[in-house]
Amino acid sequence: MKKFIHIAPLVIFTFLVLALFSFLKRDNNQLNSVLIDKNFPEFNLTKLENKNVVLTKGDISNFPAIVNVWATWCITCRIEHPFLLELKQESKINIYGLNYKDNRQKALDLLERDGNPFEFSVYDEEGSLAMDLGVYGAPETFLINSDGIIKARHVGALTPEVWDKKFVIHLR
Amino acid sequence: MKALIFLTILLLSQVIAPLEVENPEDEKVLYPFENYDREVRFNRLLEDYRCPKCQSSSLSGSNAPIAKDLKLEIYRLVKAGKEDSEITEFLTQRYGDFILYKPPFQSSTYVLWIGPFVFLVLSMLLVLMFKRNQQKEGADRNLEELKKRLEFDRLNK
Repeated sequence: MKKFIHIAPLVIFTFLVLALFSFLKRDNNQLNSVLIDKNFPEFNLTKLENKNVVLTKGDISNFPAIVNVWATWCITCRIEHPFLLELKQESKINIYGLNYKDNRQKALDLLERDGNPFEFSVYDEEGSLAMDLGVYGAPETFLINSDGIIKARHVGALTPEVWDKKFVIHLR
Repeated sequence: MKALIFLTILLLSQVIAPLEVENPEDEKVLYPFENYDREVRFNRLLEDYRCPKCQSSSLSGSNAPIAKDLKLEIYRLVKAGKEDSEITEFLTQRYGDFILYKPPFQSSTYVLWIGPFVFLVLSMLLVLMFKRNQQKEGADRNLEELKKRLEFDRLNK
């Protein structure tokens, strides 16, 4: 018993060091989305490609799909852009865009210049749908499985590694 | 002498003038309220919620675009007469409990809330045990000495 008391501080200290070290490795920039296992939220916004067309949740209907939050002012979005184009070409997934707090003309110009991986983009000038999705910075990508349920969310550039690790598992 | 004073004032005015431009008086009109209580509530709420982008600062202390959007949304909700609990619900339904500086008391946060008290009790127990051990050792030593002295006295009779 007496020995235990003398060792106790060392044991507690070691435990603390190990615990804190394990926390260091955690990526705090990836917040867990509250929307995982939920339906896509309702919305009522215009189409980027045509401001006279109003889109709702029902228009995102070809599952499985990813919804990619992007903008022309977002540098990281350009980094992931080629991968989105590649996905469109090589996989069966449907890609929808959510154009986030952007200028319509600039956005259309970018798609014209760099290629358009999206079936269509929802034009969210105020960021209202983005707020309902819990978006806190572009780019963000949501995965919707064949039942129309959100299964994953990634904050930051969508890369082949992220795709394999976080998204593919939900598509089987 | 006069020229020196004049020069000093001139120099000082150069220093002070830019400061005046940055007077934060304009900032107040960003979120105008007719009702003082609501304004106080609004300002308190901005301190209670965390910016999801720059995670170590409150909404009020953050200039991230998302913090601005959330501020505006909270402003609208407060103006619409929503209760604190309703605003909290609105935010946690979208951004999760992370947005709260004061985490709720639930299974995932038991360690956080109860942990410190467990540590307090444990350390108090440790101190008590340590103390009692010391006392016992001290008592044993006293007894030993007493015995020795008795022996000494007996031999010296």
